[in-house]
Amino acid sequence: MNHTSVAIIDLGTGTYSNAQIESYSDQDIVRLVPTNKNAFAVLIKRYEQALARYMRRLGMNNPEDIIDVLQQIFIKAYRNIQSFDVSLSFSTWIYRIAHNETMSFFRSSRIRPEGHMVDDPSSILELIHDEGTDIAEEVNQSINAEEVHKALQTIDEKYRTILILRYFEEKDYSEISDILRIPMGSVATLIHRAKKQLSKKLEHIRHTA
Amino acid sequence: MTDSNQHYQHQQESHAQGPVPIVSCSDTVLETIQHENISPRPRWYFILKNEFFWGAGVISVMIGSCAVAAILFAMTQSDYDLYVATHDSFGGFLLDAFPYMWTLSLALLIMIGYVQVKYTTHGYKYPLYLIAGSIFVLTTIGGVTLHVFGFGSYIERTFGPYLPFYSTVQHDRERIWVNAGRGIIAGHIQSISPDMQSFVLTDFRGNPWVIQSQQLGNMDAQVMYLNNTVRIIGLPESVVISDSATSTMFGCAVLPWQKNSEYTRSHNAQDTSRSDHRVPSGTLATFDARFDHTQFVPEMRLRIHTEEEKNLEELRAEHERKEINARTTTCKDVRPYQFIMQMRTEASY
Repeated sequence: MNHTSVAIIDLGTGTYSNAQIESYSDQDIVRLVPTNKNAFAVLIKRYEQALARYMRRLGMNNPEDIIDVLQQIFIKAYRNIQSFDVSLSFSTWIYRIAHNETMSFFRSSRIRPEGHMVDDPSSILELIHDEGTDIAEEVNQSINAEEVHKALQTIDEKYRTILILRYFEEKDYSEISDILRIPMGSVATLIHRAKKQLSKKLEHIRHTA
Repeated sequence: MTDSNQHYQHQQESHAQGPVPIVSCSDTVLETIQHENISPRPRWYFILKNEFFWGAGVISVMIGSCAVAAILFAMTQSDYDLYVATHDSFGGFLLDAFPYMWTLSLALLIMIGYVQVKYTTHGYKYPLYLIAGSIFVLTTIGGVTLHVFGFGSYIERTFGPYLPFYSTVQHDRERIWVNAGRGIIAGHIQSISPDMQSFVLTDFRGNPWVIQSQQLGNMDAQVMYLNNTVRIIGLPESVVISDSATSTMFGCAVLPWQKNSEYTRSHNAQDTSRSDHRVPSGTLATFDARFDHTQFVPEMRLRIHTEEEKNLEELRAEHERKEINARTTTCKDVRPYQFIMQMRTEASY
C-alpha cells in the first residue's frame, strides 16, 4: 500500500477535520501525528485490515491475538513515529513493525504459525509462473489449492514470509528489502530458494498422496 | 481525492476477499495512548541512536586497527630469519609464532562493527561482504599506520597480557630461545673469562651456563660488547663431552637479543647511485641504519669513507672471511650456524 504525496500540503498549525485528513497522503498525515492524535486514527483505519490479513498469512489464527498484536503495532508506531524515514513509504515502515511484532508474538507465545495463510493458493502459482518459474510444470502434475496450502505450511519460515510478501502482499524487491531489513540481493536469492523449496515440497506431497 | 487515496481504495477492495475483516482497533489504540499518556519519542532520540551505532562501528574499527598493529608487531618481531635454529620447519615456526589471539580479536571486532553498522538506519541495505570488507580494509589501513609510527609494540605489550591464553611476543621468544636440546640459549651475560675462552650466561629461566667461546669470531665479540642480553647458537649440550657438572654449551654464534638493535650495513658506491646522495664510483659508502621506534623506517645515515678507511674496511672484511673459513668443523656441522654465516656474508648482522 503506497500513498505517495502528489502535492506538498502546507499543514501549518491549524486544526483539521477528519475528512480533510483523510484526503492527505500518508507522509503528510505522519507530519501531523505528533500534534494531532486523530490524524493517527486515520492511519490506523487505512492499514489495520491489510496488516491483519498479513498477520493471518504469516500464520496467526486467533482473531483476538490478531487484534492484540495490531494494537501493539500501532502503539509502537505512534511511539516511534518520529523515526519514520521519509525515504521509505509509510506502508513499508508499518509492515516492518507488523512483521517484527508478529514474529515476536510467535516466539513469546511459542505458537507455531499455522492456519489460513493463503486466500487463493492457485494465485501464487500463477504469479510465480509470471516470473518465469512454472512450479506446476516442475512438479509435472496438476496442483490443487489444498496441496499448495500444505506445502506453504511446511517450507521454512523465512521462505514462507518472503513468498507471502512477494506474491500475496504484492511488494516489490525494494519494499521487501526494507520490510525485512535485508539487502536487495538477498531478497532475490531468498525468493529463488523459496520457489525451489516450494516445488520440492509440492512434489513430495504429490508423491506421498 | 488524491491518486494515493484511489490506490488505497483499490487495495482495500482487492483485499476485501478472504476472511471476515476485523473490528477497527483505532478507538482502542487512541484510548490506550490517552490513558497511558503515551507520546511520540522526540526526533533527537532516534538521531542519537543512529549516531550511537555509527560511533560504535567507528570504535570497533579503531580497536581493530590496534589489533592489526599488534599482529604486525608480533609478526615482524618473530624470528623468521632464524626459524632454522628454533624450529624443524617453517610451517612449525608459523604455527608457533602466529598471533592467534590478536587475529581472533580482530575477527570479533569486525563482527561487532558489522552488527553496529547493520543497525544504523540504512545499514541493512549493504551486504555482509561489503560491510565486513570495508571494516577490514579500514582496520588494516589504521593498523599499518599505527605500526609504522611504532605503536604496535606499545599495544602488544600493554594490552597483550589482558588477552586470555595470550603470551606476549617477548615471553614467546624467551620460551623458544631457551632450548639447550636444540643448541639455542638466550639470556644475560654475567661475566667473560680474562682469556676470552668462555663466558657465563644466565638464561631467561635463571639457569647459569658456561659458554665455550673459542669458536666465536670478531663479529660475535662485537655483539657481546654492545649487548648484555644475547642469543647463542651452539652445539647441543648432549653432543659436548664435558666432565664438569656445570651446564656447558659450545658457542658457535652470538646474536643480539633485541631484534632491532643497531647494526651497520656496507654497500658499494654503485648501490647508492640511485639515492639522492650520489658518490663517485669506487668510493666505499656505509649506511648506518638504526631502528628506534619504528620497524619499517629506520634512521639512515650515509657515511663516505676516506681511502684509508676504505682500505681498513676491506682488510676487516677479508679478515672476517678468513676467520670464518679457518674455524674448526665443530661449528660447521651446526645447521643454524651455516645459515647465520650465510646471512652475515650478505649483511653485517
